[in-house]
Amino acid sequence: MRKTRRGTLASKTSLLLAIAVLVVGLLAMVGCGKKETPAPSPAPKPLLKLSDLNWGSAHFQSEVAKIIIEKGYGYPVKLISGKSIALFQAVRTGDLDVFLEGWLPNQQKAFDEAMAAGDIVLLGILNNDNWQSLFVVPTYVIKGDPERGIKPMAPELKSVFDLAQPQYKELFKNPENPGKGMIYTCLPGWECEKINIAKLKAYGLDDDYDLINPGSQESLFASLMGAYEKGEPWLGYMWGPTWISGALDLTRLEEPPYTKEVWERNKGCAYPSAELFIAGNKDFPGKAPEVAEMFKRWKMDTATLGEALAYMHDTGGEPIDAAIWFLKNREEIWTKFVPPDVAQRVREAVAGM
Amino acid sequence: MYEFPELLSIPLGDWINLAVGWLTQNLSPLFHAITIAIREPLVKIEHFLWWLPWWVVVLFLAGLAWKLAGRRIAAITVVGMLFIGLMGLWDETMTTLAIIITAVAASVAVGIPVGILAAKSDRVEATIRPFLDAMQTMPSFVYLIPAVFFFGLGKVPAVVATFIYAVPPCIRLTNLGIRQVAAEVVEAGKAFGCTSRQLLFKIQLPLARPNIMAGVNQTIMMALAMVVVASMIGASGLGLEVLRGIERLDVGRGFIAGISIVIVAILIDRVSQALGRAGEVGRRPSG
Repeated sequence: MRKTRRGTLASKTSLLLAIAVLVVGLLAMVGCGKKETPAPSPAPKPLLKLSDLNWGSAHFQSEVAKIIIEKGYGYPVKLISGKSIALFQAVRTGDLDVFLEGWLPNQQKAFDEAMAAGDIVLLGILNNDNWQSLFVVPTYVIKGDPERGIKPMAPELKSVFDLAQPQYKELFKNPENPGKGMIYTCLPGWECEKINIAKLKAYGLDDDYDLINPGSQESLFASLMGAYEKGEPWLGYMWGPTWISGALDLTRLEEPPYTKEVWERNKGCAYPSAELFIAGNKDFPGKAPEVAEMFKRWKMDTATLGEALAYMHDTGGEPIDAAIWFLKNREEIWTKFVPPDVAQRVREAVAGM
Repeated sequence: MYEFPELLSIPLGDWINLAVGWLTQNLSPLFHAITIAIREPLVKIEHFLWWLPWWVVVLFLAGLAWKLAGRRIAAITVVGMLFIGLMGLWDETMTTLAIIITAVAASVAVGIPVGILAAKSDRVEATIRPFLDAMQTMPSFVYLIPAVFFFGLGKVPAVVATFIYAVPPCIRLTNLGIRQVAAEVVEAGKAFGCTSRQLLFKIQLPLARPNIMAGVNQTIMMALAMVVVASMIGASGLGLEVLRGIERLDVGRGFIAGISIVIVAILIDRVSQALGRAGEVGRRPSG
C-alpha cells in the first residue's frame, strides 16, 4: 500500500516536473528574443502580493522589490495598487503579503491596532531621516531668484514666529478670507491634519491664518508647482522624500526643535522624523522566510529616494525605469539587502533590461 | 510583430505638458480675472449663508418647497435640514450649497444661450457636440490638475471643474427643446410676421421651457455629483468630510456626509422640478 502510494507520488512529481519543463520551454519560445532568466529553482514558489501605494517613493520601492524577489529569489510577485488605508487593511486580512512603505506616526492608530491584534508583523524600518513640515516656502520667497527675475518677497522671514507679523499675513493672503493668511495643510483624514491645527494654535497663529485643505496629494503638489512656475508666494505642508521636494528649491521655516515633552503638550515644535516601515501579514515570514529576511535589511535614506524620484520625474519615466536605473547604478545600496548569490542573479537579470 | 513601431509614436503627452506650462506662465492675467469673477460672488454667497441663522434657512427652504412642491416635500425639507444640522454638518452644507449655486448659475448663464445658438444652426450643433461629449466623459481628474495650475487651490477650480461637467445637459436640452417645438407653430409665428427675436422669446423658449427646466435640473444633479471630486482640489464642504471619512476607513463619517449630499440633492431636485412644472401649467409667455 505504502509503497504503491509513494510510487504514484514519485511518478506524479516527475510528471509535474516534465510539465514544468515543457511550460518553461514553451514560455522561452514564446518570449523569443527577450532575455528571460529562468527561475533559479524549479520548485514552484507561492505568489507574493506586494502593495503598490499611490505615491512616488512607494511605487519606486515596490518595483525594486519586485525585480529583486522575482529575479533573485524566484518568487512570482504581483503588485496591488491602491490607497494607503485600503491596502493596509488588505495586509491585515492576508490579501496582501507585504505593505511597503507605511509612515509612523501618521498611521500610528491603524498600525497599533493591527499589531495589537497580531495581524501583521513589523519587517523593518527602512528610513528615519525623512522630514515633514507645515511651514515650507519656495526659497525664492526669502532669497529671490535673480535668474528668473524674482525679487525676494520676505527677506527677513526665518522662523514660524515671524509669520505673526502683518506683512506676512498680507503676503500669504487668503483670497477667500481677506485679513487672514493661508497655509496649505496636510491631506484630509491624515493624522497630520489634526497635528497641524494644534501646531497653529501652539504658535499663536490660529487667529491670523486659515489652514486650507488641498484635498489630495496631487492637488497639493500641483498648487506648489503652479505657484513655483509663476514665482508666486506659497506657504504650506510638504514632506520628503518626494520628487517635488527633490526637484524644487524649498525652505523650511525654523521651528523649535522636537522634544517629546513639548510634542505631547501642544505640538509646538518641529515634527519628529517619521519612521517609514515595512509590514508583512503575520503568515508572510513563514511563507517566504528569505524574502522577509531581505525586508529586515531594507534601508533607503531620503537622499537615495530623492535621487531616484528626481530621476523618474526628470526622465518622465515610470517607477519601473527608476527601479532598473537604481539596480544598475546603486549596487552598493541594494546588495546589502541580499546574499551574494541572489545579488548575482539580480545583476544578470537587470543587465538585460 | 505585436508591438507598434516606435517610429510612429508621437510625443503628444509632452506637447500637452508644454502647452499647460505655457498657458500657466503666459495667460495668468486671464485666469486671474476669471478667478476673481468666480470668487467674489461665491464668497459673498457663502458668507451670507453662514450669516443667516440656521432656522431662517430651514424655514425659507421649507416655505419654498411648500409653495412649489407641496406639503410632503416641505416636511422632508425640514427633517432633512434638521438631520444635517444635528450631525454637525451645517457649515459644510452651506459651503457646498454656495459652490453649487455659483456653478449652476454659471452653467445656466452659459448653457442656455449656447443651447439656443446650437438650435438655430446645425453647424454650431455639430461643432459643439464632440466637446460636450468630451466634457461629460473625460475623467475629471485629468483636467482637475491643470485647473489647479491655472486657478490655484480651493473653491474656484472646483467651480470651474463642476461647470465643465454640469453645463452639457443644459446646452443639450435647451437645443433639443427648441428643435422640438412643432414646425407648424413656428410657421404660424412667421406667418404673423414675428421677428426672429419675437419668435425666440415668445414662441420657442416658452414652448421649450419644460425641456430647458429638465436641463437645469440635470445640471444641478451633475453639480452635486461633483462635490466630492471638487474637494480633491481643495473645495471645503461636505465633499471634504467624505474624503476624511474614506481616508480613515471611518465608514460612518463618510456615510453621514454622503447622506447629507443626498438630502441636499433630493431637496433641490424636487423643488427645481416643481419649478419647471409650475411654469408649464397655464402660464402665458410674458414680454
